[in-house]
Order: sequence, then C-alpha cells, then structure tokens
Amino acid sequence: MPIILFKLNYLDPGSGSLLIQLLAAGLLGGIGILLKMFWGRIKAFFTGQKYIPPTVDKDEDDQD
Amino acid sequence: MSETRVHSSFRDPSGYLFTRNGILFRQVNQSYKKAFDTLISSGLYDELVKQGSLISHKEVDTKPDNSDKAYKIIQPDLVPFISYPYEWSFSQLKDAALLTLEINKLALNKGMILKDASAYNIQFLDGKPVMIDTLSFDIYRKGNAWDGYRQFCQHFLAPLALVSFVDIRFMQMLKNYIDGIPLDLASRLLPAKTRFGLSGLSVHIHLHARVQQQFAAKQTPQTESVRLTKEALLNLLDGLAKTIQKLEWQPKGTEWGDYYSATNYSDESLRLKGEIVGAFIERVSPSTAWDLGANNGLFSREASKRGVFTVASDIDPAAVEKNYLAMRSQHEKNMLPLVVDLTNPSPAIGWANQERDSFGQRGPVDMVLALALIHHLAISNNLPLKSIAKFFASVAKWAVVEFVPKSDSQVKRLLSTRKDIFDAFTEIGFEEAFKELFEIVEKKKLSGSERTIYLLRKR
Repeated sequence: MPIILFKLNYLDPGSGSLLIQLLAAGLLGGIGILLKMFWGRIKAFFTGQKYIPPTVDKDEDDQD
Repeated sequence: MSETRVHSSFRDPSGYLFTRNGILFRQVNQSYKKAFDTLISSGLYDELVKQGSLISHKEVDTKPDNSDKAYKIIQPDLVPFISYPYEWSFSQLKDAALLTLEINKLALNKGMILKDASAYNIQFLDGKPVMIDTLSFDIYRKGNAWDGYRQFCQHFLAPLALVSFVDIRFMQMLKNYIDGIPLDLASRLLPAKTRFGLSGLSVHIHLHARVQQQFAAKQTPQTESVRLTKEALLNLLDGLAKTIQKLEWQPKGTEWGDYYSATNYSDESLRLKGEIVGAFIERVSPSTAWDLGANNGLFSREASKRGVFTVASDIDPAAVEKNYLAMRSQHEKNMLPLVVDLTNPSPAIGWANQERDSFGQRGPVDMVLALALIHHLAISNNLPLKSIAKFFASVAKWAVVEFVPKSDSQVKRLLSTRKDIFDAFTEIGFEEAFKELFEIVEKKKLSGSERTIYLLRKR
C-alpha cells in the first residue's frame, strides 16, 4: 500500500485520512496520481520485471 | 506580574496564548522560528491581514516567563467576543469553512500550508470570518499532504452536510464533539443518496469513514512513498470548496423565523419600540451589549448602529441565519448574531471544562436587552422572575427589559394550552422581583399596546 510522504506534526493526520486525501486529490485532478501510484506495478506486470518501489527523497527543505 | 496561560492554548507546541495585566499575548516558540519568519517574509501575513482573513498582531518587547523557549512575543488584535461553532448559524460555519480553504490555498502559493483546520481558529469580526491563530502556518515541503484534512472534514464538512441533508439541529452536536463530528457517525446519519458516485460527500465522508476504520488498528509501514504534488493538493482544496459550496440550508420552518411578519406588530409600534430602546441606549451609552432573544436583530441594530458592540443571540437558527445574511450583505458592523438557547446556554467544555467558556463566562457586558423575552422564560419555561433578575444582574450593569402582561395576545397564546400558575406575572410582580437587584431608572409604555419597557440599573 503506497503511503504519502508526510512530516510528523502535532496533529495526527490519520493514515486512512491521508489515503483518502490522495484519492480525492487524484479523482478531482484526473487519474494522474493514481496512475503514478500504480505505474511502477503496471510496468512491472507487463515487462515481467520485479517491481522496485521508489525511494524517498531525503531533502526535507526543498520547495516548489 | 507573571503570565496566566489561556486554558485552551495547549495543543500546538509552536507557542501559546497568555495574559499579563489583562492584556493578551502570544508566545512564539524557538521551534516555530523558521515558520514564523517565513509567514512574515513570504508576504503571506501581509496579504491575509490586508484582505481581513487573518487577525493582525504587533511584536512586543514583553519579557516571557520562560525565555529559553521563546522566540518572540506578539500581541494580537482582539475580537470583541469569542464564539464557538455550535453557536453559529449554518452560513457562519459555511463561511468559516470556505475561509479556511481559501487561506490554505493562498498559503500554498507562498510556500506554506495550514497544519490544522480547527473551526475554533475562526472568529467573526463585523460579519466576516477571520482566522485568529497566527501559528497555524507551517512551511510547505514538496510532497506534503494536508495534516488538517481529517480535522477539516470533522469540524466543517460533516456538520454542514448533516444540516444540509438532515436537520439544522445537528449544529448542536458540535458541543458534544469538541474535535468535530466523527466521520463514521456522520456517514451513518447521512441519507443514502450522498453515498453514490464520486461526489464530494461520498469520498470525503463515507469512503473516508470506511478507510479510517480499516486503518484504525494498523500501524502502517512507510516502505513505499508517493508524493502528493502541489497541484493535486490545490485540486483537493478546490474539490472541498465545491463540495461545501453546494451544501445549502433554507432558514424557514422554525418557530421564530418569520416572527415579525407573522405577528400582529404594526410597523408603527415596531418603530416606537425602536425609538424607546434607542433612547435608553443613548442615555447609558454602553460599549458592549447582549441582545438576548434578538430574533433577526431588529433591535440589536439600535445598539450596533450607535457603535455599541452587540451580541444578537437567539434560540432560533433560522432567525440567526437571516440576521447573519442581512449583516453580511449590508456590510454591517458591531454585531455578532449567535444561536444561544437561554434556558440552556452554551456550557464550558473541553479538558477540565476550561477549553471553551460557557456563554455566561464570556460576560459581563455593559447592557443586556431583553425585549419580548421574559414572558417566554417565565411562562414557557416556568422560570421565577427573581431568577431571571439574578441572571441579568450576573451578566450586565444595565438592563433594558420589556414586560409583556398576560392580557397581551402573545402571552394569551402561551397560556392557551396550559394552566395559568403565574399569579405574580404582573407589572407590579415584575417590579417586585427585580427591585432587589435593580433600580428602575425609567419606564415607558409602548403606546398601542399594554407593554412596558424598563431601563434598569444594577444596584
């Protein structure tokens, strides 16, 4: 199950709530995010290669 | 003199509120330094303050009690009365929700994000919602989700949806759930039609509640990571705003919503009553007032238009909704419409019963207005007149009270279906009951009726 990257804050965002947030953001903005979530697995399925999950960036302070 | 910490200010470690010599300050902790500096340097603070969305503050030199932790001390501007979501009308909560989303959007565009979404962070100033928690902003980091999303759904979306689809009385449920309506409860209470498709409510309430339950007992491993782009986050905020905007409630069908048009008040007697009340207000020139049983605020405006900050409270959510909408469209100032049942006013709630003050604790004020009110308290609710006098004396120095005798058509209506056990409910009985705590400064007959309006001063 993919998990959204988040920084621990004083308010517990709730795992379920994070997942719904991801889903809602994806639904409303097209299916891009869902595709992104599962693209690795889809590609792995068709190419017959082992799926390697992406690594988490360590750069905490980068901003858009 | 040392500082007194504000009881409700304990959740967020970024800082806290305290009072010293009666002045409210907010300590900004060292741990929040970077975020606070970004709030100012990014221009977000100026932008939000300029559009009236965030309360302004000034930095002060006051020495904090625990200076090792402190980064800065700020003195926020004050709102004249702290109100709570369970006292708001539907549109007040809706406007507060939309403001929260709007602020978050502006924050994202300046490289920041709201770290929570508490309805208690919003207050009302001159008919407009304003955010009062300067420390709610965090630095946005690429990929971050919105930590306040769940809180937003509980504090705003769930109660608004329940009111819109089921019943206005669900607003009162916020008294019981200080952190908002549990989503599984909202999901059970909402009608089936809100579950279908991929509508906002089906995702943000129903699916959200189910997934929460799935995850409730699980510690989820963070072995894989997907980042939420800023665009996706902005989409989420837009989606929530659209879902909220669609929720509506028509203020009708309640007991008092059409009071003035449904009763036999003539325009002339309403005008005369306004004149008397206005003259009493000018004579005392209070700076704060509570109009209890204010209905749609018709007479509250006699105070507010003279620059007296007035809380216009009423038991009826439809009347309060109409008052708020009128105030908002006319850009009126100095008034705060609130839903308060005087026979059971807002209690003190939260940790140690100290997080949210009771209605009475938020007084006293200079003047209470109780117009066409006490016959409802005395007759419909069997309250002794002395008990009413005691309550007025506990909340105000002055009282403007309208006495409506039993011969009045409105009181006749109240008595038509019950035994008249109210022998002392006469003008003389009223004066007797009030004279221990109040002196009668002036009394005026409302011509064309049998009603009397008193100006009373607390002894």
